[in-house]
Amino acid sequence: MKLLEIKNLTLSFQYPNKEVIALDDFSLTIAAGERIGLVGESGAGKSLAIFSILKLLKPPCKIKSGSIRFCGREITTMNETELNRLRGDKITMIFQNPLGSLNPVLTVGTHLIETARAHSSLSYKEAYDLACSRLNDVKITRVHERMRAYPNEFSGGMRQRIVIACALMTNPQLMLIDEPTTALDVTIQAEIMELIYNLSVEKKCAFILVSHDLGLVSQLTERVLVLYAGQIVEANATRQIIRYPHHPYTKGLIECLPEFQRTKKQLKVIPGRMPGLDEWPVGCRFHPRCDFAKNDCKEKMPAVTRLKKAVSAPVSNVKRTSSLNTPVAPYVKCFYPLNEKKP
Amino acid sequence: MVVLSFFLKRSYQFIIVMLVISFIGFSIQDALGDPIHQLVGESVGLAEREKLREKLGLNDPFLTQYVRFVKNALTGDLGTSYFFKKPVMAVILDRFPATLELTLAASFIVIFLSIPLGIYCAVYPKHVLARTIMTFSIIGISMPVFLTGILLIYIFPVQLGLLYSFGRGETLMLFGFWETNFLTQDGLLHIILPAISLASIMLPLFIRLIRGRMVEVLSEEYIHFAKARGLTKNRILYVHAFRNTLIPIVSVAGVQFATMIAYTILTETVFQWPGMGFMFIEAVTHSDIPLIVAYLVFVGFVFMVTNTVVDILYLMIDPTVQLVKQKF
Ligand SMILES: Nc1ncnc2c1ncn2[C@@H]1O[C@H](COP(=O)(O)OP(=O)(O)OP(=O)(O)O)[C@@H](O)[C@H]1O
Ligand code: SF4
Ligand SMILES: [Mg+2]
Repeated sequence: MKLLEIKNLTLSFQYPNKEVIALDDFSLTIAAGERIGLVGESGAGKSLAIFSILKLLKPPCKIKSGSIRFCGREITTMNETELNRLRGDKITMIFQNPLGSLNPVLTVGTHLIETARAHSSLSYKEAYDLACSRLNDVKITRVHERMRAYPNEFSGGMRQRIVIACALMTNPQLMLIDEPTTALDVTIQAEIMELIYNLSVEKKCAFILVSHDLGLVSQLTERVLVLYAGQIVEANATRQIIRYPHHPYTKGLIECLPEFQRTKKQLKVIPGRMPGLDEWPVGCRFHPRCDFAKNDCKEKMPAVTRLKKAVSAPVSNVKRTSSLNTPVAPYVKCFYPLNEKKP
Repeated sequence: MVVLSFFLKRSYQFIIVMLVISFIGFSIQDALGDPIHQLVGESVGLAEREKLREKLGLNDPFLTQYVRFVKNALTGDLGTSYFFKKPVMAVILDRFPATLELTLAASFIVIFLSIPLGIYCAVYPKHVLARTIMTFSIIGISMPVFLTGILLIYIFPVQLGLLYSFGRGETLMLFGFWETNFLTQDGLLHIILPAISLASIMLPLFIRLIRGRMVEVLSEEYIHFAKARGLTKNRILYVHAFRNTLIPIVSVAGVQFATMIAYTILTETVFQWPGMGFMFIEAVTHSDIPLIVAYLVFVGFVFMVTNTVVDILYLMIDPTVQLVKQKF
């Protein structure tokens, strides 16, 4: 069953004298209980993509076109009341910066209890008990004491645990997780990620994990979408994408991972940098940085090329369907996909 | 321990400031004129005057006189008013309720208008009403208090025949010493215009302060997170954002409340309000030096007390400056 279905979503910044596209024809489907990753460099539009799902975009950013359906209900046309019923209830979020996510003048208990009570008719006492059990879930001890404490009494890792507890107060079906550990100490990152993963399995809750770290995402998700300059350039099962990247950008990301470069002395990097919103080049947006670029890459935008599920298939089996509107199956957006590798 | 050191530090500051104020007050006393002249006038002979001078200790060295002044002040004795022929503290305390009530009424107006207006201007910055409020607040800031007062008197009592421009009206005596305006209808009607006039200095300032701080808070990440949790707009505005807005405002409010007491000099004069400010002007016109000095010392004292209360309040409402900190 499709839990969330985003089709041809385009986001733009509306300025008085011009319009800048930030996310271009973005499509994504996620089934109940599925874990998917959204990967890309800083500025690719990952945060915008997941904020748009709950219509939490800050002006002047707007949904220009496209549709977002959650359990069959269209989100883009919902009013604030309907959205608030969804936000923090069936769809919850975990933000990038746990230090900023919690209100400094409200206790941890207030945060948890208000979240539960905004979406249910629980009494204060019931909500309090629920909050305590959620704190237990995220491995926080001495809960009664912690419920009374203020956010600044906690370390970053602990605060992120509290944010996770907030995101689980209402038995959500989908968690939108935006780089949950980038602001944290490396040693705590693994702990937090494992916690999120285990809770998602335990509570049968799907998630979309946003990160620039393909290595991290590959350990926690079943499917990966690679975002470059506002476009999904490749989507595939995690295991496939790691072993057989089809897009040169994906390949570059993988080669940057430390675990893939044991043999080389220097860390490989993708040359150049990702273009900003108003400097997207014509043709393939990756072409200035691509080792495989040919002439037509500079002129035309490559279409979406559907890959067969069995990615190990030889070149001739890759079916090209240029007018693909809703790519659900594995696909790549490149004229010359790298698929010569054999299993 | 931390609480104790806070109070020690506070008390120490309190004493220093009061000593400075009393010293300035005392020095002014010397500079303002000969007290003997004020006391006895022209008719008394030189020898007589010298005797009186000796009796009052006016020939003692400056420092001795100052120490005596402070000692007496500590027992509540700041001298005797030349004009009222009564202890100055009695004169001041007699007028104090009128001034405090006027200041409280004005603060009430400031608080109950600036908070909703400030929040409104922060939430709907582009709305016509918000722009109008902001424009008026600029005019308000630059308008002198006495002009506002005179304008109010001209519009309401003079043109419309509404409200009062003069005195406290009917008051009620509480506990045998506190005359209050708040418990009679006539008293309330009398306090409205002076209170508005006094509030008009602080109101624009506070609207702008609250608006500015609110705009800042509304762009914080925790507000965004609160939205993502589906909380209602009212809860986000009043529980999440406003609390954070309020904390820095409280400390400003304390200082401004005390400043307002000083502004009562103008308001009370315009509205003939029988408070300390009005009394101060009378004292100046009569060159009633002990009363002038006592007024200064008393206002300084009130200022310090207000500030201390506000600091304690601040510590209580802001969990981020906890006195005793522990980290999990
Ligand atoms: N308020 C804004 N005004 C103008 N441009 C913005 C605004 N917010 C984001 N952008 C731009 O939109 C693009 C996408 O931003 P987004 O925050 O989604 O990136 P991201 O992929 O999440 O990157 P990061 O890893 O740094 O979080 C970026 O180029 C960013 O500069
Ligand atoms: S389309 Fe061309 S430039 Fe773009 S990624 Fe593929 S090979 Fe490189
Ligand atoms: Mg981001």
